[in-house]
Amino acid sequence: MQASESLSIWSLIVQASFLVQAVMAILLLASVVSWVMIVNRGMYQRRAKRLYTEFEKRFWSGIDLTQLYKQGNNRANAGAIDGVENIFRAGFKEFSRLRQQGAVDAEAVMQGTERAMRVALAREEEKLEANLAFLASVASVSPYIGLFGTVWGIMNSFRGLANVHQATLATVAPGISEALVATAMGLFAAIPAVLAYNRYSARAESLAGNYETFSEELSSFLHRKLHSNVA
Amino acid sequence: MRTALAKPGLMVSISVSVIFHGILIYLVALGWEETKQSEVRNPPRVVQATIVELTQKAPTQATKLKEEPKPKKIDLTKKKREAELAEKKRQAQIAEKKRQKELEEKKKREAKKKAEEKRKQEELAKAEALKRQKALEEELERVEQERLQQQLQEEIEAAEAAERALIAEQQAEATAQSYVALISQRIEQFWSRPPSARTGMRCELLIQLVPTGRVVNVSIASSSGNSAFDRSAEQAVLKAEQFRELQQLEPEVFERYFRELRIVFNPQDLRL
Repeated sequence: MQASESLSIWSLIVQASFLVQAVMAILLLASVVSWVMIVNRGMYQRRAKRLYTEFEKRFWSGIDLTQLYKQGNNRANAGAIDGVENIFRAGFKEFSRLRQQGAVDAEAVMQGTERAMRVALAREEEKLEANLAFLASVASVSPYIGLFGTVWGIMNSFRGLANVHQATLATVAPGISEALVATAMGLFAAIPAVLAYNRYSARAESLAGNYETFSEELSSFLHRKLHSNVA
Repeated sequence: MRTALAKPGLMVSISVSVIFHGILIYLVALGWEETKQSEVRNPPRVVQATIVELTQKAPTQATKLKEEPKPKKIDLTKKKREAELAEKKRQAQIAEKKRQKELEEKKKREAKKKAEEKRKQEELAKAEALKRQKALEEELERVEQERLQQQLQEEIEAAEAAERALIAEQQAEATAQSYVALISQRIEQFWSRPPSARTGMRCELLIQLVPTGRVVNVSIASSSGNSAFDRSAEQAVLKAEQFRELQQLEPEVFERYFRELRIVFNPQDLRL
């Protein structure tokens, strides 16, 4: 009678030993934080993708590059620019600055521009992959933490069993059930983290590839411009 | 530059995550366990709905006898003119006639009224009777329902009591089992098996105990056929002398399982 009433999952959690409860709390926290990051990264990457397609369309619409640069000035001051446009701005700024300074050597101008773009590219890649390391560690560690809680709980329930002469299933079952809740929670935290990590790292990689292609295109564009001017 | 972007997004993601986990915890805490349990815990309580018809109350106020305004006597002929005596007489006659007529009419009306009243009273009485009957019926029904309810309650209680008793018995048996295991373990410590003991020998002892756990008598319930073996078993029990642990047992459990305890000896190990 009493047993059937007390076997809800909630009461199992409440009645668990302190260590198992601590393990559960850690796992819950990890799950909450990893979900924060999952949602946050998802939103950021989706936005970056959208910005990329939009900017590329504008870039290839045949607009003058100086004008394109000027269009972004306001937003750049407000700090609202993200993604590929940053790379463009960094490269173009360096390019126009070097030319204004009267650097005659086309090779030197191109080198400076490319370096500036590389820096911006690295920064953007870093932004795309931020927090993914945390997701990866939650994905790999939380099953172990859960298992630890389970092993500890089972250990205790068997130790309690040693004092009983007549060992029935009913004396062990609640302890084991309680202990298994920890593993369940570990898996619950780990599975979304693994999925999100795989998905987001793949997406970040493809976006970074896109950025790189774009920076190559831009540098070839500038190169052509430089050489046509010289000639 | 980055914070401006991250702030709103961060708030959204934190709230999404927290809400998601909150829902999950709520489901775990209250969700699917509840349905299963309530089925067992709360036996359905039958409440029968009855339609109580509000009988339209018959106009209760007794129809008051409307006092008929008495016709005024018209004495027109009060003038005392001798010449008009005849006239007066005639008029008196007319008045008399009129009066009689009126009287008759009044009687008639009264009779009619009376009849009406009687009818109304009868109706009232009928309605009253009907109401009473209905009330009686309702009362009967209510009593019947109460009886049913009580019966149901009693049945439920009986079932619960039976279940409790069953569980208690199971528990008692489990504790008894563990004590028996303890006793046989103790006896085994004192048991030195004779060399003539062979596997397959089986000797059953009947041990009589008192609530302090002391052994008061040992007898052989069924012999193994080897008297040395039987004696060794008996000696082992006598050496054990007292099982103090039995003092912790509840009296009824002791009476049931340990007043007379049968223990089977065989050389492999001790078995009940």
